[in-house]
Amino acid sequence: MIISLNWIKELLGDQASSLPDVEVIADTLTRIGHEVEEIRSTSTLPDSVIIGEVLETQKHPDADRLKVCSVRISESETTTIICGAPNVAAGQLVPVATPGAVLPIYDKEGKPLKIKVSKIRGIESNGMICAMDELALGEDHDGIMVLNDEVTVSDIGRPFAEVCGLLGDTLIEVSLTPNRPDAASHRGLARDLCAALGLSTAWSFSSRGGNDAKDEWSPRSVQSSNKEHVSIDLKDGACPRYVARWIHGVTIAPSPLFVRQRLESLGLRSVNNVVDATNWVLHEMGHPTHAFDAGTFESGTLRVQRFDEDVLFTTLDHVERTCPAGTLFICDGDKPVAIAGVMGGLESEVSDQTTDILLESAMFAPSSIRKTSKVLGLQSDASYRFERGADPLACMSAADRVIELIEAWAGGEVSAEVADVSEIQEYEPQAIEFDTALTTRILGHTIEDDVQFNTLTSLGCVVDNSVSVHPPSFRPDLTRPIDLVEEVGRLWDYNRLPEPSVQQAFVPQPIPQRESYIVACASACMRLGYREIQANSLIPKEDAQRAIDPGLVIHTLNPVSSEATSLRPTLAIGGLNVFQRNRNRGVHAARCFEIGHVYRRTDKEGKGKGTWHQGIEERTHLWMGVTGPETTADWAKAGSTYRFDDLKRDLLGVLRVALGSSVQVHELSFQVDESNPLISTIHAQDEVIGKFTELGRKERSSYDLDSPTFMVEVDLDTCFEMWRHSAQTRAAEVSKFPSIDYDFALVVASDVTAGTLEQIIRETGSDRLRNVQCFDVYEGDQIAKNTKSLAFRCTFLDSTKTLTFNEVEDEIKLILNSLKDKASAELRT
Amino acid sequence: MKQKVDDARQQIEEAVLDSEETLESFRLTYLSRNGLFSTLFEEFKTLPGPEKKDVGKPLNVLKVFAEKKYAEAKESLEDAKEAIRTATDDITLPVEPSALGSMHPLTLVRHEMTQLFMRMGFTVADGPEIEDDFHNFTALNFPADHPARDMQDTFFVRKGDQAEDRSDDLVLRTHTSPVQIRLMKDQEPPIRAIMPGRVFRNEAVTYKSYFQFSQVEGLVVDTSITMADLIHTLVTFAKMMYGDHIEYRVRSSYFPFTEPSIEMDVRTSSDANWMEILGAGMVDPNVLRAVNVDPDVYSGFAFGMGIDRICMLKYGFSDIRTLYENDLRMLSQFEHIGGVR
Repeated sequence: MIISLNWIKELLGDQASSLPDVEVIADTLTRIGHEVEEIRSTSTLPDSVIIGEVLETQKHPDADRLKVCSVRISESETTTIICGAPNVAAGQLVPVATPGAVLPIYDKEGKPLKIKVSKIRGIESNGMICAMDELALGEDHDGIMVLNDEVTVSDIGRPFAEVCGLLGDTLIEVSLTPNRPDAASHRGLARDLCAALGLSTAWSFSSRGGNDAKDEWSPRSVQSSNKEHVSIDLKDGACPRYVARWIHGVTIAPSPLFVRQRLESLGLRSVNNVVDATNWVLHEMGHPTHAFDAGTFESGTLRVQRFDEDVLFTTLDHVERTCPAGTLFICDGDKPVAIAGVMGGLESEVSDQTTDILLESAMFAPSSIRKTSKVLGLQSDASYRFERGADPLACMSAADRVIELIEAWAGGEVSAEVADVSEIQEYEPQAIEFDTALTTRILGHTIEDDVQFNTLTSLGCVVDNSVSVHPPSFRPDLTRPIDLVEEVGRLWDYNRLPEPSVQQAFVPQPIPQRESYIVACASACMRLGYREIQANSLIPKEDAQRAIDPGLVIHTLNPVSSEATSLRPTLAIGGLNVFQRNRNRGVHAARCFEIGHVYRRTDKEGKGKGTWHQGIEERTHLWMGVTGPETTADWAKAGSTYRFDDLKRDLLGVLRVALGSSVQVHELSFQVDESNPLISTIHAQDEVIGKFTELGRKERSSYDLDSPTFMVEVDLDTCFEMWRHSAQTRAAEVSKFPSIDYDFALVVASDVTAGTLEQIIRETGSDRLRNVQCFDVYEGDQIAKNTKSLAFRCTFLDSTKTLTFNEVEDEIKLILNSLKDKASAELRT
Repeated sequence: MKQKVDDARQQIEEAVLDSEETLESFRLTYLSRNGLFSTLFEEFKTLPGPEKKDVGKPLNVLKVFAEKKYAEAKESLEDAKEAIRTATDDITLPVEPSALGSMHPLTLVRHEMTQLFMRMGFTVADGPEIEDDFHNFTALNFPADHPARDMQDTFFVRKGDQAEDRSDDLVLRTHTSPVQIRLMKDQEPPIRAIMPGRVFRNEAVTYKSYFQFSQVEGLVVDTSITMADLIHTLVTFAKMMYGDHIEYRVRSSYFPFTEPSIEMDVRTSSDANWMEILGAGMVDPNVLRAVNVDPDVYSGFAFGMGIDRICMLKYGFSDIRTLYENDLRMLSQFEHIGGVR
């Protein structure tokens, strides 16, 4: 919201001279919770812009659209000015920028416009007759300003700004918090400011809390003695109070210049003298009012009601809206004339022909207004305030103030009739039992009772017997003792709180294992030269549905864009997108990992009951992927691309961290997917812990990848459960005796996997068999068709003695027999 | 025999061993299994006793001499060979540095912050990114139909896959505060924990906003926790994070879940602009009640800050989108930092 410093000063009256510099004002507002985002000044118009009178106009002899005007600029002086405005005419009183005037409009280089005597098509022009925009008073450039309604002939020659009350101003843009509807006005913000600066706030109250407020609530029915022939019928509790006033015979016209200038400087559009009066009061006092053209009313009953069906209604912004059943309307009889508290209708809008005004100043329930505003996607200055809670006691004073302004700006005769209708007969002021010791307990510092009570009083609270605090009706946010603590602390200034004299002694709780576990897994990847990426949790729907059973993908109901509709069921898509983006930027080699959450529904069979919420699986995955050249060719080495075993090696390294000592590397198994030989599942302790994938040619090309690409995705939640059972790492003694290696080559049928052979060897070997390696794989002419040869190296070690070759040979015999029995493996000779 | 030994001595002394070839020929002639010394020693065995005496010692001395000459010549030849530099022995030949892995800058900052809070005795808590309304809003004192909900543009997801029923729609957490609720539900005070993690807001993607980002929030609940403790904690953190010299200011603010609520700004010098770094406050009694903590016995403070923003300030990112773009040339710049522990 934009605040005019001039306006604040006007409200403060005599106290205005006690206000500090604008920087201090801004800092103070920011400190007490109204964050100032911008301060800017509007300039004062120079005195060399004066009031002039157009005496005569003639067409320029050499230009169709220009007029040569004879303009009186003082009692005795008349000058010639060339003017291009279509509306210039003799008899007009106009603002004239005389030579030497510097105007607050700027060229491309940021230089202000300086008025000079110049020749235009051969005729000398001694100044400029100004349009609104040329004086930075608005956007209007349709013609010159005509001031006959604002000034008189006796003003000719006097400075325009002075005569019309146009002052340079300082505008303060404030970001409001949603709990403070009272601050959405000059009066409210100025009140807070004065309270913080120690200035009096007494000027700011039309009502306070407590018994004061009770008196203010004096609804009167207008059903009888009905001079205006309108009865008011509140059919809904969402409108607890409705005040109406009338004024007849108004003349609709543009508002006085200073009104237009001020409203426009606050970012509002000046409409006419009646609508501007309601906007003026909205920004002055914070209470929304609405002016109806009373001449459009026919029924004699003004009803506040809802309908059971949708209503088509055209609001005054010329938009036809479908208002769902249950929307609260102001109706002329049963004909809607305004969406209550949100926006008036086009039909009953105040127009140039309007002469009679019905002014509404009502109170609406915040949740009802918010609902309507949300459903219609329509927020107005009125709905903004009503949905945060307007002041129920301000209805009458706001109405009175608007009527006062309409009378001043648009004339007319104010009706003696005042309607003030409410179903609530007695206003019950809020009372908060407040113990000032709570302030000490919460702030950690004792503030004297006097200071606390004075603060609350300055904000409009009424303090009874130092126990009961009645907050003012314009502060719906004050309902509990803790709310009063905030008021005291906010104005006292938290920056003054001393450091706690006693530091809390606390026993730090242990860091959860999982936290350090995730860090360790990430570090393991980094130790292997992988680069961490952080991709999007939200991905395109098609990508997600391609990755898993489409029915299990979770979509957001209100996606931010088509690129981010669905929660990722796998980290792979994000990773491959990163590969693609980098590849398209010329970065071919990628070696990346990511740790993050993946999400899916539990499947229909109810397998998996959900992690945190019923039916939703949210798990932490680790993804590693490699593509492009593994090493680039240089003068020393040939370049190479990745093979599956490069990633497998790295994966096993990372799993040593991720699984701890709970699972040994050789206890892992890889099972090839039956439908796709490029995919394998990774198993540990009879559970699937991850998936290893080689990208096929087509998939690679869909990501613009031309090199072999491998990736693996591991479920860290599953791994963590295994890791938790790891033995604590101890420095086990290492053998002082040498180990013995024994090599042999086997010939087996082509479909026997190396993993099967390794497993047989390990199962058969004694605990002296410490390691099994495969150091050669061969298929070709030297052995039979449909067979292959694998060469293994077994390493034996005894921690108590030096092994002899004979001892090892005995074990090897057993192993070879076992291989022959179980896998028909022959020793290759 | 003696003559043979003398002749051999002369030849050996004169032999020039300056190449692989002469060296090998010397070895074959004298020192190999079929070389001269083998022959001479065979012959020596056949000599009668007195003659043995005459020949034995010189022969042995000569053999030792020959072996020494061979070894020395070989050594100096190897030295000479080593001294020869080929084109590929050029140390100035360029090579690429070994690839180091790296952590994402967001991870680096998150861990730096986590470390600082751990030093201040905080533990770390975790929770889901898909949350229900209770944990993300209701328990945090966001009334239904209250404008405070507009402060956080929310992504919704339907709980059942086809259900029309919107009443139990879930949300993507808009802050990590739901973890605070879970923690207080699970654990009696005292509580002293931070909750880092990814959060989501339905905001247009621009240089300064993204639909996902990361936060670190903190929560302390005990019998006598005050605003003074909160500010002291935050200032201690800010000084460790931004340096001892920074200036700070605390200003009043509004969050539904804290009362009183504050925000904190820091600046590096008195003529620099204030930067907002965090929101905080005393835990609202309604929040404590929602998790069955008695606000008459306990009080607490909570704070929250965006990791992305701090990361951007620290490393000079001007566009938040860069953080999620994962250009490897950008990420490789963080190799210099040794990672996290």
